Amino acid sequence: MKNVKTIMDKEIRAYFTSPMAYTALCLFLLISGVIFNSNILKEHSSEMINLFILMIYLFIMIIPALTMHLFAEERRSGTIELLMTYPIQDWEVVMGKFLAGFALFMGMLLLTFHFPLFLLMWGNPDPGAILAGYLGLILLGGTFLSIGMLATSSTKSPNVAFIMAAGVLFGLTVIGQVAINFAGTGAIADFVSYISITEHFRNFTMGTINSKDIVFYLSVIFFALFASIRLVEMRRWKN
Amino acid sequence: MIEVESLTKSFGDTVAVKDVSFNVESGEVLGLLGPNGAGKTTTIRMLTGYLPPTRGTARIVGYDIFKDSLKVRRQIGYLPENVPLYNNMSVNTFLNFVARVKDTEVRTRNDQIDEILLHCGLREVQNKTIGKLSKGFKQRVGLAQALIGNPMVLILDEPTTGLDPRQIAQIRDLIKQLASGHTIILSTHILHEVSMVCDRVVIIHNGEVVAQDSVENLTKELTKTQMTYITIHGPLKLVKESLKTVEGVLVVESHPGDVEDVNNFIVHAQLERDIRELIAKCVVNSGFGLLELKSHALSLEDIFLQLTTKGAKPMNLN
Repeated sequence: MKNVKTIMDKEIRAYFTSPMAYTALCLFLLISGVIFNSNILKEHSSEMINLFILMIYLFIMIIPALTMHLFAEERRSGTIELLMTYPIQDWEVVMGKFLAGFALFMGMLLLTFHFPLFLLMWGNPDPGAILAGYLGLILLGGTFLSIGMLATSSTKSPNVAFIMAAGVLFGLTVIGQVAINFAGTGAIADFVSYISITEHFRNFTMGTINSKDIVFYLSVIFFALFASIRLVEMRRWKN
Repeated sequence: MIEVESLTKSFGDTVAVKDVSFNVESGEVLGLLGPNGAGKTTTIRMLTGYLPPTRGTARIVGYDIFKDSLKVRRQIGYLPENVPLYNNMSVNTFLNFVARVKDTEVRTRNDQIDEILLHCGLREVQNKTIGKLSKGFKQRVGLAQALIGNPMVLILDEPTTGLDPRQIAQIRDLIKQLASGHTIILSTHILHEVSMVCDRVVIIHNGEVVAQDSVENLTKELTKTQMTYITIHGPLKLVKESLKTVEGVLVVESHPGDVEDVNNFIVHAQLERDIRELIAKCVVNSGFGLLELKSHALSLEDIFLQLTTKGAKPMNLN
């Protein structure tokens, strides 16, 4: 655990020594602020669902930007050779990097807490729905990050890692809508909507916390991280 | 301290390292010598746990490099080729990170880092960003991170490549100082370096060990004759004939010079005899002009070329 923390600290520090984290953070807050302003304040709505959905689309771009460097950059610059020959295990490296991304993501979410605060002070929101929505965002963000980890673990080009992750995340996000449009109902549509990341998010925004949805997100995170660790181990072999 | 047993690594069909075996005693400095692409880096990467061997094993401080990789890595300080470093970190931050990863004692951590900074001459740049340092300083940061945790074994892959002559001298001095407290494997393609810092040398060529011994012994073993290098003013044929009459001379090689009637000769004689005086007398008595005469020792370069040139004949004596 000590090693996980060490790697995590190193990555968090790295985020703030490059313009990447600041840019992502600013863009995210700016766009969600604008949407909050136009969509909620002007329409006198107390629901955050539209903002949450928009955030998901922002995450499709922002989260791959946060994960793209984590492994690919180490490979590109050769520092992976240092890291892999220090007395530290591969899974500790993967977990440390993932948790660094997760910490930054949580910080990002934390900076949007004035939105519900406004609503509570001047509107009439459903606090349960908002809390559930944030829980959903946290799970969804973790899922996006783990898929970003998988992408960055598999290449030595940060750009490729970004494009791969953003592509996969976009696919998983829109696939639910596509299924409904083309397949209508039936077994295939059910399956496709089951693997759609956004379909699972819908329940949270309505204030219902469903164990099925939580299990879905946690299993994707687990699987993606497990596969990332394997990829890092395998890269040792092939090189 | 280090026992390498028929270590083999293949990438697909290419065999990069084939049956490499050698031992390094405690406190010894071993030079891993070979032309570029000989398999030095691959061998080192297997020893440091970065690449698993295809076949064979090695033990470092008694631990198997594959089965006890973590324990091995705790005993090793490693400077990879081309010195990859985290360019966004400051020297201090980086060394602190390494100290945490290597799990050094928290109480003495700062003292140890201070000591290493001083030892490697990094005090003045400790708060600078690594990416902005000169190549020479980066190399020292690379050495410094290897030294953290006071490992018993240091493995340095081409530690002087890309430095200017002054920096090379400094790094070599640093390595010589380190030799007193560590067992060191150092890879290089610079022969001079081996004779300067290493106790023993393993020569690798095309992934195989072609020779291993002390520099002294290697030179002795491959020197079968005593060679004298002479430049003489006089007709080539006549000079050659009279040189052959000198007692103890086995073979005379002649190389025509650029100026007419000024020729170079290499005279091979029996090992135990110094025939320089006899040659000088002979030349003067025959009425030729003696321009230069010196004994010609087989250099490490000659040995290296002999061992690594494909189809090279052993020192020809006829």
